[in-house]
Amino acid sequence: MERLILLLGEGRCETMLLERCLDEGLLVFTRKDLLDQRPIHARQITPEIIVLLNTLKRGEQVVIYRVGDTQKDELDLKAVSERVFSVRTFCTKPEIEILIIINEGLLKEYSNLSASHRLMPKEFVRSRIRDYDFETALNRVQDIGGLLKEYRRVKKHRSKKEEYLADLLR
Amino acid sequence: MKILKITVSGYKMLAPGFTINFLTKTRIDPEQNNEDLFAIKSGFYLPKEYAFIGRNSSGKSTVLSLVKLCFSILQSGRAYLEKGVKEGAHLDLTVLFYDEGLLKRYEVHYHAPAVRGETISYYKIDDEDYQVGELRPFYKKDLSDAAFHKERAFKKRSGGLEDTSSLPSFVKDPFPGMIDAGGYYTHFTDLLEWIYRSSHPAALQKKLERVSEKIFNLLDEGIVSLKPGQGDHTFIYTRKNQTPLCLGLAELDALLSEGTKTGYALYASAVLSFFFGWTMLVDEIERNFNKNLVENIIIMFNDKRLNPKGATLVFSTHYSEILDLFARNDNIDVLHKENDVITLANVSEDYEQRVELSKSKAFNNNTFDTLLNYDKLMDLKTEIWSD
Repeated sequence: MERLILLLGEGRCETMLLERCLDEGLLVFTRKDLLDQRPIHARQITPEIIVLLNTLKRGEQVVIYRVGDTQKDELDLKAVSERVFSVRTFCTKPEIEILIIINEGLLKEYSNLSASHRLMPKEFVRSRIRDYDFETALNRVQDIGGLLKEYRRVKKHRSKKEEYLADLLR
Repeated sequence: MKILKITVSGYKMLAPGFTINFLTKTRIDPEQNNEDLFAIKSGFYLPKEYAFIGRNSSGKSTVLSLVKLCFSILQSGRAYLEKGVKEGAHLDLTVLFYDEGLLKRYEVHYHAPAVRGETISYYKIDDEDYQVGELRPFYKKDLSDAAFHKERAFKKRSGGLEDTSSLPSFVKDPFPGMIDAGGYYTHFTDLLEWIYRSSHPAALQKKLERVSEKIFNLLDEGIVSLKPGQGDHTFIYTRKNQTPLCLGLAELDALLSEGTKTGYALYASAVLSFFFGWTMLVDEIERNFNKNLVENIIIMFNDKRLNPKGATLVFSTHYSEILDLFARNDNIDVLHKENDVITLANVSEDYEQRVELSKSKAFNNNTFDTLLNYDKLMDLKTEIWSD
């Protein structure tokens, strides 16, 4: 049986990125494969998600795809354990703005910052891009798929539990 | 048109100066998911849901009937009299609303006449004032410092006379901007007529019919289709594995289950609200419906794909769990009635809460003093068991 995917975007930016990927048909799944046919902005299982899961047929389970940056907090599945088949984690470490840094050609400059001057990606893009906001910066990205692949290429460390968003590309 | 704030004196048991402020009352973080808010202008937001909670007989229905009356006044220029209003009773009302890019303020003072019509009667106007202004970003969240100027085209009526020949409408939208999903307006057959028989533009008509069919199918999987028939007030009704029937409105009304009809009224009202950006009023939203159905309506109001025009759901409820679907606290008002005077408190502004506690837990812990009164309950019990 094909299971629906509960696609969790941990922040507003992740959710926006996932919406764009879905709109462009870049992913191995489409909206029809998703619970409520959309990425849901949530860090944890919310009452809204419980309502949506309870609307499924008895015994039907979902696979959770959790997309976020560091994802340090455990996903608490107590309330929905019977509804969840498995959880996959997709990271955009250290922050999703690393994608904007790559897209704007600032990765070298960012990487060359000495440890004492190292900023988080969000702070860095704010210092380099006038009136930065994620939505505008994301709209400037021409090739989202290429950007996600490039992030996977340059990212050096990853935990075995974590996957890349590029792994979800068609 | 969006009603932002109502202040009233003399309405049923509401306390003098009773005020409902529908606007958000706390800071909005643009970085957060704000899908549950409708941005009006310049940092002013309306929650897409607004709930009134309280004990039985605390004034929830009264508040919703007041909101309905305000919509009616803005639409028709006059206030209908509800049952039980005594002769000479005064009603003073101020409504702040946002319409066509402007902030508008209508203030009116009424009294109830002695002679009433046989069907519907109206208050007499003692005085009124209609002003407009810009919604400025620096105004206070409750708009208490908003500035207005006279609307030149408006001709004030006064002297206790009601000139019905020149009733002003304060909103240009031909529809009331409000749908009462629990009242006569959304009686099942009225809704069907409105959806299937009104002169909507062709594309909208088709859309409404398709959506209507999906609602029926959601509530009763046996219903395959419902289409307008050739004759006036007739419908072609098709059930799974059955021959289509041509039915009049009354026959259809008699054939469908109460659950299907009330569910249809709720969902069809919501859909109309989404399409036109209306406000939907529902008293005791849980009445006649299972919890999951109600919860999904709330989720739908928050879904920007379904509700791009910022339709608002204003409702009363006893289902504390429904409140857990709210990301916010400032869109929940608690009503209390003491000595026959109804007052209102806002969950965000007037209660201290432990943030880790869900709204339903706070409700069930009686944080808002909304549960049964223990002493009164014991009075009842002892009266029953005593000799």
